[in-house]
Amino acid sequence: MTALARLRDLAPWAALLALVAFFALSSEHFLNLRNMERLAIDSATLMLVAFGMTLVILLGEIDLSSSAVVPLLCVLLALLLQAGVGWPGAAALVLLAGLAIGALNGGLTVFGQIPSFIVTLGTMAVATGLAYILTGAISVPILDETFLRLFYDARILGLPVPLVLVILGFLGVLVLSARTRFGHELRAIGANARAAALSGVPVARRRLAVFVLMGGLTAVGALLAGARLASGAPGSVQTLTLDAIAAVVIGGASLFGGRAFVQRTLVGAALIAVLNNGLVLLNVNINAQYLIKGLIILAAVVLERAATGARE
Amino acid sequence: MTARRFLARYGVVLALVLLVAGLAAVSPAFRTAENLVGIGRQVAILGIAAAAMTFVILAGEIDLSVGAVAGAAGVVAAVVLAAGGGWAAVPAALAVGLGFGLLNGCLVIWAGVPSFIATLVSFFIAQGVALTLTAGQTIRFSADTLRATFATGAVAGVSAAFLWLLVVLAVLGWALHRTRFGAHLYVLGGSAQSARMLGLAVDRLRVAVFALTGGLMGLVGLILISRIGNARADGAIGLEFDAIAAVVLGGTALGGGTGALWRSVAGVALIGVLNNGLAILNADFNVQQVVKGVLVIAVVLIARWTQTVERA
Repeated sequence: MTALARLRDLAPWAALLALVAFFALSSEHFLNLRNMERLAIDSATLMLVAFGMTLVILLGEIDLSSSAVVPLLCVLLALLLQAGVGWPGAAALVLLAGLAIGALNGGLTVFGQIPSFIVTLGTMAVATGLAYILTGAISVPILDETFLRLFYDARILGLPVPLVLVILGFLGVLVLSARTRFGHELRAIGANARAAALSGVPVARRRLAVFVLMGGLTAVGALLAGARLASGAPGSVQTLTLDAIAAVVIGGASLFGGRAFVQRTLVGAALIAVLNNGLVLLNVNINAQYLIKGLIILAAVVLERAATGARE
Repeated sequence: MTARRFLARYGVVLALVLLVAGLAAVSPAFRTAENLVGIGRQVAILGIAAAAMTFVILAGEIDLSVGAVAGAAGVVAAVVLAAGGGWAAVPAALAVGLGFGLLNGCLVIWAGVPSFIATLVSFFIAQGVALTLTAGQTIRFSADTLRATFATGAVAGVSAAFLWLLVVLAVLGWALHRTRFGAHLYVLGGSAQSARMLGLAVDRLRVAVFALTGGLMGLVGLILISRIGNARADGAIGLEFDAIAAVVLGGTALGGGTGALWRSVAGVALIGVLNNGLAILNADFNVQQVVKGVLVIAVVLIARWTQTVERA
């Protein structure tokens, strides 16, 4: 392994440790169990979307629609609850809607042969528009106590539910991508789709499956976001797409596909989560976030390309 | 020429004629001279962005950063104006646009990053610059001559913004269809490998296209703030999608190599008339978003379908 590749693999850990140390020294509110738990709950949606994005990027595709789909699904959830549909039914419908949106993104990309960044840019426009149309640009409160408790405060084995769902999502995607035939096939498709097809991988079905999976993870993320914000509001999670792509890229994934690891995405997402939390604690202008994260992605992308180029 | 092939080539013109005829028949408010002038004023920004995007798409690339870069250029110009810098705002805006264009180009040729990722990085950074400078507020300034020069002034009843569009179209049309640069662009978009084997300076062409687009976004930023007399970070949000929509509606192929500037002009006219018609019919902005999102994906699908027909 070249020095650059080693740097690429260690840089996220080093940056995460440095960031934690920095925030711990600059704010007495940062490094305590309470805040860490808050941080984990607040970043649950990001984590789940980033896990899905890892698989999408592993294929060499992208999904730009998350920060519009999550608010749309939250709005749908809030309206369903308001209309008197019980929380299990509402949650199930939101999950179905998420899977359907994923299937739409995947179907248009795979069978329509449209580049995924165009498809998801289109879904983003449609989802944003729909969320505003459905609500009239007003946030719809979620008042169902059971739902709010279950998806936000409740604990399983002492762990908050959002954290449990993140752990399950992580383990699921990890096992799927690293331990199953499905995962190996995804890697093969990402590295060279034609070669994968020639060696008998059902390329179209696998690509579609990844987009559907992404839709499902996004929907679970939306349920958690709805419970955390106690409302369905259009325009509520504006930096989600940025954060999720940043998490995957910081993890050293290749944007050409074929190389992306969900355990590294976890480190990347933790870095973004710590950054979000710490910047708020330090009262840093929230608008500077885009700039800081943009520069971080820039550095990660250049480092990844330099490391890969040096190896070839 | 079969009917299907005719539709594939000139469908945009047909759609435009039908739409104009339909609106003119239904709405007396549509067929006034003031309304036509109004459409011209409204499409100036989209027209310049779509013209630049035509070059990018013809070269086989994409630029997702145009809206954010135009916004950032406008904000920087407004900061200069508010500080009493006067006309220095013009080179400042152009430099911001050009800088991001060069960043895009260099990321694509040196780091070898796919252009949708390179320009997504610029999108985030430009948005960060604009948000940080404005701190989420509106920057006000007074500069009547500058505003008149770029937007509010008029020559013989034609607004300055529209005149800028005409100038840009004339220059870009000449560059694309009358110069070696334009011819090389088509070769590059058709097949980068062939372009390289023909001895074309592929990398230099790519950087030139992104730099050109960036520079024009500096101009768009100036028109943007001149039109309304203040600057906001989200002033041109979504412009990239509208520009891609206009180019694709016109029939220029995603993936590069085939298309023309007049096609994008027709696409811009179609979107301009569509927005105007929807506004006259009292549909709100979000309905327009949904319509555009669906339209783009539908058109790309139809384009794929007709291509398959032509190949078969």
